Amino acid sequence: MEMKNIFVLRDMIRLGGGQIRGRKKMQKIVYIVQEFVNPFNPPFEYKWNYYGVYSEELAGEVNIGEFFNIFKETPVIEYNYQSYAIEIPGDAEMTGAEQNVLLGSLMAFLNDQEPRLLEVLSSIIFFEKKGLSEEEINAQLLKFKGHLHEFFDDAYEALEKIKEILSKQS
Amino acid sequence: MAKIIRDPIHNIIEVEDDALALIDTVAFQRLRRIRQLGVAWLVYPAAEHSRLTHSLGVYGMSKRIMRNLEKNSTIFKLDKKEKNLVALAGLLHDIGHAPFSHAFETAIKNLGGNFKHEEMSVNIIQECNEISFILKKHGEDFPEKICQVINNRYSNPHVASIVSSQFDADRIDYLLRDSYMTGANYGRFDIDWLLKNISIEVSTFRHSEGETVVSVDSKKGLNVLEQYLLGRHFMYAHVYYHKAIRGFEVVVTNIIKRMLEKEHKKLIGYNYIKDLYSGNISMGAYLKLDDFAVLTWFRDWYEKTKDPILKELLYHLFTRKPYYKAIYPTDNLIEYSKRKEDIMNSFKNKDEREYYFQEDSPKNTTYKNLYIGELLNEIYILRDEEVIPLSAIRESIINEAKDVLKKEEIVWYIKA
Repeated sequence: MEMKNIFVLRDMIRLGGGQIRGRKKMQKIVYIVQEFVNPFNPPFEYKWNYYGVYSEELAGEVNIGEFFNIFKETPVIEYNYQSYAIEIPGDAEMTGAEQNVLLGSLMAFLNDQEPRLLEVLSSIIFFEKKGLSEEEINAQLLKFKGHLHEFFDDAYEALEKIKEILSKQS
Repeated sequence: MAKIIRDPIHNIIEVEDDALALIDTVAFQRLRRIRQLGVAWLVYPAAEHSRLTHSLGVYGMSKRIMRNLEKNSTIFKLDKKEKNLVALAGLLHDIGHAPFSHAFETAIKNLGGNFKHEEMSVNIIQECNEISFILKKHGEDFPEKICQVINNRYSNPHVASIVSSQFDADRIDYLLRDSYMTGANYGRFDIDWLLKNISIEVSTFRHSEGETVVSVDSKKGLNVLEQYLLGRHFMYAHVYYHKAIRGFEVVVTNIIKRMLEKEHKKLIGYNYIKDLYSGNISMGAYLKLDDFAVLTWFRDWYEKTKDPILKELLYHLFTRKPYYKAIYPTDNLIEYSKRKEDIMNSFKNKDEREYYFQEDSPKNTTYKNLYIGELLNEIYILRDEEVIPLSAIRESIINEAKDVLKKEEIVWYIKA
């Protein structure tokens, strides 16, 4: 049942340190995790919108999670604007996702990254999945994420790091 | 010399020359073609009042609140320039509203976009020449100050209390106006008596000691304050969150969303909506967006589109067919999830699941401060020598009922 995804999300946040700063960051992290590990059943449907990969389903799930007190959103100021940190209240039981060492390593790494880097990284992964060549990916990045060009190299490095994490655990 | 405008809510609104000049701009006149309550006219047929009438009302009410505060208070500190600032901020506070009130914003937000009418209001005030030219007669930084007042960032706290607080000109006007125009009389309260009993005082409450706050006299004004707060609560229940109105808002939101998702580039108006979504819309193009233009587009889309989902959404809007039926799920997460799964499985395909079902959680609400529980700490009461928040007044009906008033729920809208 879809309900389990709420608890997997919760445990992912816990694995990432107990807090994800901002819904935008959460969107990108879940997308990246889903592409490599996919702990969700069913996976969240993502679409490419003007601002990058986005899942309306995931946004709704976070709303529901907050309504049923599975998550808590608290205001934080980061990068000079206010967003909401998604936290875990209390000591609810884990689903078993915490047993997933790979997921834990991935979450710790991703949650440590800046949201803008994750935005570029998730875009690279999206275009790679569509079968674009490296040249075509760079062209798309310049077109849609040109304002984040300072993060391009770091995003490619982060992608290599993810692959390294995956290969170590397998 | 002030001009007189007649108004069914305030009877007479006196409009000074600079306000009149702003009213007669293209940007402001656009508000005449945007309905205050979005699609509520589909449920309350008389609810056809415009954002323009509301903006005039806020202008008049701002001045009225200031007059009463000045009369009733010993520490009210607004000079003539700041009074003008407050009144004009009230006049312009909604100038950036999109058509169909919140439906456009919701559609864009649901697709991961980022449009806020408050930001557009700031853009218009600062960048629209016909508006900024008039405002700059009061000083080069006057447009910026107007924006600060609207966004509750102005340095003088007395100003914030009149324009942007839990008890401000905007809320008072829309409550009275919406109540009158819909015929749902819950929002009507004794405004004259309330204004007679408000004043600026210095808080004696430990968490805000020394701060100046707007307060209501407990002996004479408490009951009418309660009437105002309860009226707000009932207006949300019976109008702003009326299930049929909300259901039609979902239809309009889905129409916009479908246009964006399927990129119906050949349909008229697509470029405007796309540019709005991407944040690239020019000032000139935005000022062409109003309810009239968008409804004309809708009619054209209905005739020309071959997209069955889009066509069906538009059909139900124009024929006022009861399209979305609301079902109220339980408080139990497991039962909620099971019922939702059953509903999802009843749809034939992904398109139907996406466009024939809408979940409304409290986080999705676009009306600010829906729940009275959030207001309690901000309205102060003058009781003998004390100036304390309403939440500290145990005998208040609001405190007795706060658990009921603060109830949140998830609502589903499903194609009937």
